[in-house]
Amino acid sequence: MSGKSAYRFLGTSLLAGGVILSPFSYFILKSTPLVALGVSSLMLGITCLALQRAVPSVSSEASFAFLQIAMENTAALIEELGLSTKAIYLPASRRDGTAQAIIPLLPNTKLKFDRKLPGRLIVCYGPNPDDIGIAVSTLGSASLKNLETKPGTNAIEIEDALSRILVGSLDLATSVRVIVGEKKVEIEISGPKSHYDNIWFYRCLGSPLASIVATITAEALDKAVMIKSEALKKNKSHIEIEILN
Amino acid sequence: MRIYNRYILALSISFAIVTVLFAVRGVKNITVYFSVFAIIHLASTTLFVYFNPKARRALVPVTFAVFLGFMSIVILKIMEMMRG
Repeated sequence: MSGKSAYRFLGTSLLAGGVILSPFSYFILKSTPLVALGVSSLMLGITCLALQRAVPSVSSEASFAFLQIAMENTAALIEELGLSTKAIYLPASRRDGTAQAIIPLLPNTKLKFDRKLPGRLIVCYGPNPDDIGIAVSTLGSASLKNLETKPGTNAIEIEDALSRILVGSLDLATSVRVIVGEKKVEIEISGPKSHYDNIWFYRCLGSPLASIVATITAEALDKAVMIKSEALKKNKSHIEIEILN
Repeated sequence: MRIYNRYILALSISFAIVTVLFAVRGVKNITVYFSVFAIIHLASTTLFVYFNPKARRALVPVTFAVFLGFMSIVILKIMEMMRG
């Protein structure tokens, strides 16, 4: 049973139970606690039926399969091209309205992303012929749609945006803490459900969690960012994001 | 556990505790039960701030109905008191 139908089934059962129990307890049994039980069952039933509209109709297994295929294709592309540099996460304002990550062909420490880049797979981001990279959409790009407004630049607003996505929408963590510095942003994620593995794809784009964090940070600060480090300590994921320009 | 499951679970546990406590105390007025349920529902919906926008929108009519029920009880009680 998918999430949506589970909520529908639970909601309908509770609603039916409440509709039967309340009048029966009131008129026949004359028991106030049982009437209250019926009323609470009615309230829970209506809440479940309302929530089932928000639960995605695609099952989590299907979503995972789509994600795995997308990740495998991107990983194959990165490996085939021999890209080993760390991805640079750009806000939507520097791309064609979609936040994306650019994987430069060559490591370059003097990158400048002060202009809008064309919305293509292979992009030229600098004046030199070597300033070429591959632009890919990440998990964070899709997650941004779950935010009603663009997050602000301070730590509280970034923390709120990350919590809404990681805790509320994707259920990938239990809580998030953010510290914004001048050149870096430190994020502590409690109860992470996705971890870093030392594979090529993660070395380039970061783990799914770090990728989401980097995209949202880039969008909030409206600046290009890079995942500097990520580590798991005592069931807490520590991610360090470097602000580039 | 998904945030929706935690929300439903929090509501169920709170409702169950209130019902048992009031039943043990011998509360016979159903409006007292409903008022407390309504407060729990409104508070829980507000406290679960990280619901996605879709869920929040879906819960608006439910919250409104609960609030309306609660206000009806309050108005009826005030009218009753005014009549003496």
